[in-house]
Amino acid sequence: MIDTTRTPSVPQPKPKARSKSTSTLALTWRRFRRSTLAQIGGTFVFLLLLLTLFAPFFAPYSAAETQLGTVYVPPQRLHFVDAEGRFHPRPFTYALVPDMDPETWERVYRKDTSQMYKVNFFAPGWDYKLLGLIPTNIHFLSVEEGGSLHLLGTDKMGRDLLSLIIFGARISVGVAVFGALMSAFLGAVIGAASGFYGGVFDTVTQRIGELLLSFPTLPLFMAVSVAIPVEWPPLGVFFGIMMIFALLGWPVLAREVRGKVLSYREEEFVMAAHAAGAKGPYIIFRHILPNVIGHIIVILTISVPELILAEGALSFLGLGIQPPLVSWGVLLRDATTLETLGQNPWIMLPGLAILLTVLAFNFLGDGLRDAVDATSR
Amino acid sequence: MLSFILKRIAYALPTLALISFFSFLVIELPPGDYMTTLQGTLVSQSGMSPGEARALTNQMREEYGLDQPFLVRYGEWISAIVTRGDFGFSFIFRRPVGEIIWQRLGMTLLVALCAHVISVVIGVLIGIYSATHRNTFLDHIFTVLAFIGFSVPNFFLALLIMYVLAFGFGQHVGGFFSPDYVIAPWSWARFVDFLKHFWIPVVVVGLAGTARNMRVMRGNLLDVLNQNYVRTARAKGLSNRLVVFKHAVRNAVQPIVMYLGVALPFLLQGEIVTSAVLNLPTMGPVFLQSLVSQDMYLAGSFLMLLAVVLVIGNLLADIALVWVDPRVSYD
Amino acid sequence: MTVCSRWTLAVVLSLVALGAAQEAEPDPARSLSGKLELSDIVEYRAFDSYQEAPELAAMVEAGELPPVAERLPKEPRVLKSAGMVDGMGVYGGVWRDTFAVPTVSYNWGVAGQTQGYFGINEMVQEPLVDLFPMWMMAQPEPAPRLAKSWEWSEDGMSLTMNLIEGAKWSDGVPFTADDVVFTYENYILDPNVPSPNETDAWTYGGEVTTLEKVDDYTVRFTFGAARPYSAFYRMGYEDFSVVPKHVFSKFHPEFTEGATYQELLTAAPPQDLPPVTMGAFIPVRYRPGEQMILVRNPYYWQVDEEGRQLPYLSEVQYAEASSGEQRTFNLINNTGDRDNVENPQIFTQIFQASQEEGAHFNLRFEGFGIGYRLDLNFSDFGAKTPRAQALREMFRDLTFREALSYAVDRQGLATAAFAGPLTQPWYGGYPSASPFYDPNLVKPYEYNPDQAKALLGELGFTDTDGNGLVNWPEGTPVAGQDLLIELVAGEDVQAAVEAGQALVPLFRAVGIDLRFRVLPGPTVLNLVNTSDFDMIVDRIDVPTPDVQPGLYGPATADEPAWHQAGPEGRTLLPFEEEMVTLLEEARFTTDPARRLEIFHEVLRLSTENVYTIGLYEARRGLAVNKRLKNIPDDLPTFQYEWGMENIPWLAWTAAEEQIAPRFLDLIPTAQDYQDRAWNQ
Repeated sequence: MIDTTRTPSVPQPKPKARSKSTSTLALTWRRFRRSTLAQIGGTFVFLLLLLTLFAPFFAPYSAAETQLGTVYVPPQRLHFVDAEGRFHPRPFTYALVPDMDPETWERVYRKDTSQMYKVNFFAPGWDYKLLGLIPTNIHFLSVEEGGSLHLLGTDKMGRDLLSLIIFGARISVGVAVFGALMSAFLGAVIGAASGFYGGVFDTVTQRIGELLLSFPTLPLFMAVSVAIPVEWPPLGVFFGIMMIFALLGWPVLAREVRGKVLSYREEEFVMAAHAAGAKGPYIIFRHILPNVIGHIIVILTISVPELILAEGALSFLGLGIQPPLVSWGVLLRDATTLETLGQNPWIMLPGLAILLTVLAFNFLGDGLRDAVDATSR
Repeated sequence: MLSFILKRIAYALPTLALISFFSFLVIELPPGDYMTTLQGTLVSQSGMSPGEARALTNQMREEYGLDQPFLVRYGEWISAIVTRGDFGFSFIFRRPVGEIIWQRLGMTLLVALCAHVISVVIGVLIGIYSATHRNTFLDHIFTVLAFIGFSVPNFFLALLIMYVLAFGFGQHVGGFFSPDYVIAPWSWARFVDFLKHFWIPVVVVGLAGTARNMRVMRGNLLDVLNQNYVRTARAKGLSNRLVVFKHAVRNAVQPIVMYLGVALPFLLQGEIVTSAVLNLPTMGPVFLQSLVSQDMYLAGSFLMLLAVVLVIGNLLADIALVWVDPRVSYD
Repeated sequence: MTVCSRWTLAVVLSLVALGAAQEAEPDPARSLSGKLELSDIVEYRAFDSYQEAPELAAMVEAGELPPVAERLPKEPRVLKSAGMVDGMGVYGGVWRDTFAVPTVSYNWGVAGQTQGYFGINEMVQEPLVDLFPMWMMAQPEPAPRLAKSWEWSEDGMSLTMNLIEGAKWSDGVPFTADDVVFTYENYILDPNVPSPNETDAWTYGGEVTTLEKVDDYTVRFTFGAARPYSAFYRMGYEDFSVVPKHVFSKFHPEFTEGATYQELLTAAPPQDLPPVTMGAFIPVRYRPGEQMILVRNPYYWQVDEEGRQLPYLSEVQYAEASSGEQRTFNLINNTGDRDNVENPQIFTQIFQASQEEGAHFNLRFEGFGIGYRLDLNFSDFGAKTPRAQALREMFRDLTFREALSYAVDRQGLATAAFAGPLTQPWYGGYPSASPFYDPNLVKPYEYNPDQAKALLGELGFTDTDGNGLVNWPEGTPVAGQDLLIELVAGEDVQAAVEAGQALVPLFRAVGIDLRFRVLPGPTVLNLVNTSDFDMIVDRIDVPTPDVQPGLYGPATADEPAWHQAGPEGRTLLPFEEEMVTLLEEARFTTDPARRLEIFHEVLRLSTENVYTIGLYEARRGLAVNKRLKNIPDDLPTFQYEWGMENIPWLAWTAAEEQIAPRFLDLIPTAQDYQDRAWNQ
């Protein structure tokens, strides 16, 4: 990816010997805190990661639940005041009666004000395993037995959209984060080895990296995604997409790290370590990489939103994640039909989820980059 | 300088060769080929028996040389390109690939260029304003808007615009013209109709670029404004405006202008998804279709072209940078 | 109130309300279904003088075309006014339409070489026989088209057909029996040319039918069995659209030295315009992905009752879209003139648009003509795992099929597709709009998950490992495994995809693990052809089993798609054997009463034995711009042939409402056909 924010003219400062990590970290942290946007982004990302980790806890419905009787329910309101005007501290929803409006032929759900279902926090709901280990059925939000709680409405199969978006976050954010992590790991290792050892390995990996960077990302992703056989199970496709992100994304970081390693390689402290008998990998990991870790984290954070957008585009085009796995891009595939745009516009909400997530990661990444750059200046 | 240029070109050539090989390889990854798709279609749409369909497609495979080993096919393809400019045959469209790309290239480039120009102009102007009015309320607004600008998924934005125009204003959306004007002589009315359709992909594709340019311009200008020579000019008593526009902006704008050649492939990439939503007769939908149907010469050629444009763009950008900025030296 | 009775009340109420909200009942004066006889609709006769469109008259004046009397055949085909609900029309105007399949070629004799579907094919292809008018007839029989009359021989073994005399292709070359024989022998019968119907379809009594030229305007079919009536159903659009010999023999190896079949298959590419055709309109401009323009054919060989050469309309503009939905979109924003309303998801949108002030189109719904069903694979070959094999055998057990059928909540599926009464439960067999449908013959398996579980239990399926899924009983090759069924649907049929997704929890509720996959259309077809599937969600929109029996039962070795004959043949179930006998008889039956009996019996056998598991059926409709005239109020979307697609040559628009054509200067003359690939 082209980093258009770098001006080529400012000379790099002399690198320090590996200084006490606490003071660099503290400096970076302080600098980071000066940007409100970055902090907002960071908080959002943190909450999002919590959400994906504890997805079943936060999701009022299991994403697998299809209910033919509650297809395309519009977002439900939580009520505090009932039909007789009485105030209830605990919110509730009304029962829904499906019907068709004879004038417009629209599917409507009339509220049956005689039946109220209380909504509870930290209450029992559907069974699941917390973190995949602890069986429980406590949820953040849950509605009384028999009632419905569709805060963002339902989709064409009666599945709760809020739950779908939450579970979709797992896939969309998961594939992006793990893809970025893997590509960062690959990039750091390859770049460091390339810079440190040079020679044939360096030339070959440089060439390959250049080759990969010569292709604009989306078309390349598209072309490789088509190679994933249609017979693979959806989870296999998920791993496939992740691998694609990793294998095609490492050159960016590799180039960074290689440059840094090259410039540090000739420094005194490195030569000293070498003279003292330290081996290559030890020098790389103990002395050089800590100076580079900041940049690695920045690039990592910046590539996540790109990958989220890429997954969204791929799945939207039908090339990425496949149903029954749910990702934000897959959800948006359903949003392109006439009836969605005309009658059930809430189906477009996953697009908003993508926007907010990408925005948050961008704020965070931008702030991190400022902090790290300033510190190393 | 000249030797530098020649060296860079020489360095780029093997990259170009590798690009062509890699493009072809990538397109070959999916199992089967176009004939597999055709086989299914023959049975579905014409009630051909499976045995007959298989026999026919095998025959066609032979005719088109699709049963030959990978390297042979690659060799033939690349030599055809280099010697005759023949990019192969598209099975979906029954025409030479070159014709298809050529026909659609015009509009594709037009959208990309307009998006780029607008994104540069608007981005630069807002960036200048932001930098010179740093930390004001408007600056903060622009910053947030810029972030939103390059965070919004472009297909989502295209959908939203389509929705608003179609259901809010009852307009015809999709394509570059209303059906009345698709095949018609140029006239003022046709031009207006064109604009009514054209602005959507330009805005959607150019939004991310505008946001980026705004941020870059702001950042660069801020850096430059703090530099010594600017302070000197100011100390000398030159008016603020003169300082800003004559010296600072010119220097700050360089990186943006330099990346014109490089920005193109990314604009093209943004166009792929957008044109799928808006049903535009550009390269995007064709590329997607060719991938899905394994129309390999078409897909491979387009993929390769994108990369080649990027490499050449990079090369030109580097050369231009060296030429313009004497401080930078490359060896 | 239980969910069930709430549903019923809602449905009943909306049925009543729907009746109120709908536009007026079809006007009997403008309805033609079942009212006419063949002689009311069409005849062939000569006129003393003919009239032509002004633009053609001008071209004759300028010497670019021969006079109309020379362009028309000796006895043109006359479309009589009984079939024109708005009477004879005036010349001029444009028909605007939308298509979503890129044009492949104009070599329509080759399988899969479409001109774009959506009505374009019907505009350029002309068949021997016309099945479309059958919808208007009280006693449906095939109508003449290029073949103007025919007689059976005494023994019924041969059929002599008289072709129209003096008709010409759009380049002025005469149409003769040579073209017909060429189409039959060198396309249909030639094993190297894939065509919509091959020798199989033309085999009667074990012999392949032969066709010979008797003279320039007469041909004779000779069959291996007496009076195979269903042969007429193989002489309509797509099956026997006549191909111009003078064009394609130049690419056919049988006729031209050095030609290859490869060349033949790629002849007439989409930009090679104008093509040689006998259709009412000729494509003259095509911008791929954007638009196609067609103009009137100066050599069209049909006239109205007063000798006016048809078509009335001068030009057709087809906008190309990436999906069929765009056609609805275009209709609503008035850049398209019509739509087949088939997708339940669209009903609301288009209905609301039709109810608006000043809406420019009429919308009418007809009977239930589309059915969605599950096809279970009975074929003996293609099973890749022991599980799949065991499942095939299980499918052959009626109790098992009944269990599956009881597990389906059809009303739920129907309502999920559309909230109102335009969808309803369907139990298989034919959709209820079919003329062969009889509700008394349908055995309904009402939603009853308990019964489904009980039946599975009877077969030995119980949940032995407590995971909620039943397991294969002892003694089966896969004993102990969970009962897993793989369901597949093609991604291009959205409603089928949604139905499939909704079935997963329904089956799980009775202990079956239903794995649902959505695959690209061609992939699904490959699976079907190699019999590599368990169940498929299928869509049926042909309510006439006599025309396409293979969609409903074992008509040939390859049909039905869910019980094909493998390399070792196939073992038919007893009721299938009965069906074979019935269907074979139907091929030769002309008596309508007997045909009705036959297909009633097939219906009964089909639903009693749960041959397929019907899910729900939907009504479809037509939406047409009010400007277009001669569209009957009860024109069916599809009956024997597509409805609107067979109207353009008798439709017209009033002078004050006409859209001005813009491409009349492109009407082809001899000049435009001179330097073409087949004339070199």
